[in-house]
Amino acid sequence: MRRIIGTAMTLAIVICFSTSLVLAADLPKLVGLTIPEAGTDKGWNEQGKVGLEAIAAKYGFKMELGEALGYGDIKPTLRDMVKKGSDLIICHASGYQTVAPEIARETGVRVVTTENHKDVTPGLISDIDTQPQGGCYMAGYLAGKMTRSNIVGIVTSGEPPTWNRMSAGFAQGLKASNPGAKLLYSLIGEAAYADAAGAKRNSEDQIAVGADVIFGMGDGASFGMLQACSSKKAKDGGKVWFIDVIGDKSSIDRADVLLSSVLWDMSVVYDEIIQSWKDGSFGKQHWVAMDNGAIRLLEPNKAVPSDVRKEIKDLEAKLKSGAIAVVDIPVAADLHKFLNEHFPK
Amino acid sequence: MKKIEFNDIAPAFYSVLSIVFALITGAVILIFIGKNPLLYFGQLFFQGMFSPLGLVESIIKMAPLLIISAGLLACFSAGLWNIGVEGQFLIGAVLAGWSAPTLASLLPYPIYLLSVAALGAMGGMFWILLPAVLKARYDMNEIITTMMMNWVAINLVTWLVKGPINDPTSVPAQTALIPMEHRLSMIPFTSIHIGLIVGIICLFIMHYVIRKTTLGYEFRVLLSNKRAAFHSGMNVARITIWGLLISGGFAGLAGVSDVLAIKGLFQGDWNPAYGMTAIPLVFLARFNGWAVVPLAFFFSFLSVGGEFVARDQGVPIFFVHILEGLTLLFFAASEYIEKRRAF
Amino acid sequence: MSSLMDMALIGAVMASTLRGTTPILLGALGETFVERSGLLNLGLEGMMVAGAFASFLVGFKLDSLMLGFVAAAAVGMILGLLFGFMTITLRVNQIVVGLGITIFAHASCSFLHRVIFGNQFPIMFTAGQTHEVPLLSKIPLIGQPLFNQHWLLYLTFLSVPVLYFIMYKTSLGLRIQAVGETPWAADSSGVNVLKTRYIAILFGGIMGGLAGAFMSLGDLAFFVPNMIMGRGYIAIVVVMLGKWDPLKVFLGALLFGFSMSLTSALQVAGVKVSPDFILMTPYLVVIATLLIFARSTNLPAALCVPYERGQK
Repeated sequence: MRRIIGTAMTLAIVICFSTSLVLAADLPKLVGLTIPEAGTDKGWNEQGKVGLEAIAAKYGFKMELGEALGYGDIKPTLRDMVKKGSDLIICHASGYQTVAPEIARETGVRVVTTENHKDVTPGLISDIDTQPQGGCYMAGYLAGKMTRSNIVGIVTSGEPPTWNRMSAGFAQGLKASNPGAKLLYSLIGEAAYADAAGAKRNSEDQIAVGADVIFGMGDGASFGMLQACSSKKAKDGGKVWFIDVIGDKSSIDRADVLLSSVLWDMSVVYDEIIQSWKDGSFGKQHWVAMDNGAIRLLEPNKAVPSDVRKEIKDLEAKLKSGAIAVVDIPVAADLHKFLNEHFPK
Repeated sequence: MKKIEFNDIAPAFYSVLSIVFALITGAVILIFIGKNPLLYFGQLFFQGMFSPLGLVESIIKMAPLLIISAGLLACFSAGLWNIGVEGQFLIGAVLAGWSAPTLASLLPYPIYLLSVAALGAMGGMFWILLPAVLKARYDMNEIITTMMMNWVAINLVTWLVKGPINDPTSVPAQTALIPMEHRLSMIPFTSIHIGLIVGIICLFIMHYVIRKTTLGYEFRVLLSNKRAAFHSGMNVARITIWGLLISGGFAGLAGVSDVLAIKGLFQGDWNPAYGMTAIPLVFLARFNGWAVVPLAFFFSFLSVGGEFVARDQGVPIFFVHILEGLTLLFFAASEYIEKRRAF
Repeated sequence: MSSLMDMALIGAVMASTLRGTTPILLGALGETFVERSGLLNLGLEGMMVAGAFASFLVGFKLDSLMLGFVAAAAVGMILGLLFGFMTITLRVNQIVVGLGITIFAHASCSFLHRVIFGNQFPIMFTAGQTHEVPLLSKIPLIGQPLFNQHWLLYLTFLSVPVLYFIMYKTSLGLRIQAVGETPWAADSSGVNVLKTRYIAILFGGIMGGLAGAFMSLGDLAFFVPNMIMGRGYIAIVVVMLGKWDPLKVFLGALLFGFSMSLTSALQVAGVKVSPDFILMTPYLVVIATLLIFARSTNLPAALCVPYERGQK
């Protein structure tokens, strides 16, 4: 009798195990995505939306987009997504990193958080963090080569960890290519992602004191920086170059001042997540980084000499292989300290 | 049995009427962009009000509105305009986020809750102290000063979470996470946190204070005739300061409730801007605590249900805010019809 | 600190002060007349947003800057009319109507931007041009920053003395003041209280719309939702700071524009204070100014009080 029970149990376990394997190999059918601002902001939010749309088309699952949710209470949205049968919910903002794991544990639905390493749980919670500093290192390197006045500026619309990492990477690249260059750093305002007028003002002030390459992070505010670079002349009468982040604005760059852009491709990471879903390893740390191709530099402006292009290419290989290590500085206070140390005023 | 007169139900009737008008206007907009308004509104009400999930979530969302409204009842009924609710809310919230993780480990649960609540309420009061004193001593307009304090608060709290009170173990600018067992407890048998009950109690206490106590009487005299209040020997400065401090205190308390119940920590970018809803709401309720409750429910329902439907129907979420603005305007207009009937 | 002395930075600060001042000043000058007449328009923020969007939409689609500015003025006026109808004719609460209009206008513009432009943020390349004033723009140091600006900026600054004159020296200005102070007395001396208030709010709406248009077509050349970022509320603050006197309101707006431009200039000049503190300066400066100069604010006596014949 005991043997029969034992065999039955073994059998049951095997069946359970194999069905769970089959289930794990399945794909999610409905994936929710929550973003704090409109999915049309030409920045962080749009990148998430577009990235997931691409992967949804590739694997043939449906997606449900909750946009412009703010940074407050998104539990109602998450619970509704669960109710509608979402298998996976991606919370594309660091502001959601407490709510998302709580919902995952409450309902058992898998979630993906942002910049939240602590809660990563196999089978339940994955996390995406960004390491854009490599791409920005190349941008800084390029800026150091292209500046004529040896003054370069960073204009930022806020100080979230990703923005800080990008500033830090840019500063290190600049130091590497042009150790004598001066670096200006301006914060437009707190969460001033849409303050285009403020972005223009900050960029113009930097241009006035001689900056001729501006590295700008800003979602909607970026348009103000682009306009400042297009309409103002550098001190020597030449162009002021603009280096953008996240997207590609060449289509509206009529003054031809866009030097390059540090492009982000979230679909690379979403693809990794679906792969982990398939092979049953869901619940780990993912990176928006250079080595997986999620971060890359937009083909630089045609004004960039070919030897510089080649240097950038070499640099890319070295950054990917880890031959060059870029210091990761996510915290604003540390960034200020770093800039003060390496670029004394 | 008492016969129900029209006048008894008139306020409710006009409220419903103004909602209907707002929805009709919204329907016209939907038709213009090629959506079916019947489908949209059907789903809005079904999901936001008649599904268990929508109902519960809408009720949860009421808590901060109720607590803030309780304070606004006091200052508005004294003719004092606290437009700086947002700032006081943030200061209360940031104090809660900073103190709760430490206090929770030192004190027993009820005392810990009370002390965090007291700290947040005092923070809110502190943030309105300068406007209150300026109003009382120099009669400086509080609309402008409270509004200025909002912006100072927004910059101050982000500086705090980026530096002095930042949780070094996490990457973003935020305070340390409050563990689940130290959050606000739930109302038994529900998933609604006790902030709702706190809000209702606060609201009715203030409703009573304004109608039955000396301080409330003084508020109402101040509203109707400041000069008379002064000449009848009232200490106008004291009443003014109390009116504003009470409203600031409750706004701070609302911040505590949201941090302890919903967010679990304080984050730099977070600013739910409840003031934009709570301020008109108290006016629409004609300073009546009882009337605040259904109104608060309606606006919570709009934001919860509206978000649900936005995803289902592909109508941009901004449409809900259009409905909110329209409802406010039609509510305001209904005030006129009611006033006319009074003659 | 050496770059603080940089002439070019000083020039940039002057220019950005003027440009930052202009939308606030436009809104505030309109609001001065509105408040003098006894109305408090918290819908100004919404009117500015609507003006910014309408001007860009019309200007871009019809490829005409002029029509863009006209559209902004028209939309501002319509919202002003709505505010006036609700508060003057229907006599309902001004705070509620003001916030309602702001929420409505703000949401409508984000909504329409989404429906019409989707994720595209087209730029109107003809917008944002500056015009040099002959001779004056050749003055060293101050010539370029002060006299190479957008036409609406010149017009705004020139309107200050004109509006001052209208406020204190014309019968219209005196009527507006009268209906804001003692409407029943004005009424009995033959002033049409309601009509005067309507004139004021329509003017305020037009100015609010133009303020938004200056942002999207004068200073910049595109529209981004949320780009107004509270400048309408700041204009209301400036009006009270300037005690409803167009000249003082001008100084208040200039103070604000200057402190805003300091937030970027101080960072560029390398002042070693956390940027968050620098960003608080505009508000702290205004609070300090209030403490020093504006000890008492004599509100128009009938502010926020609807007028009805036979009621005092």
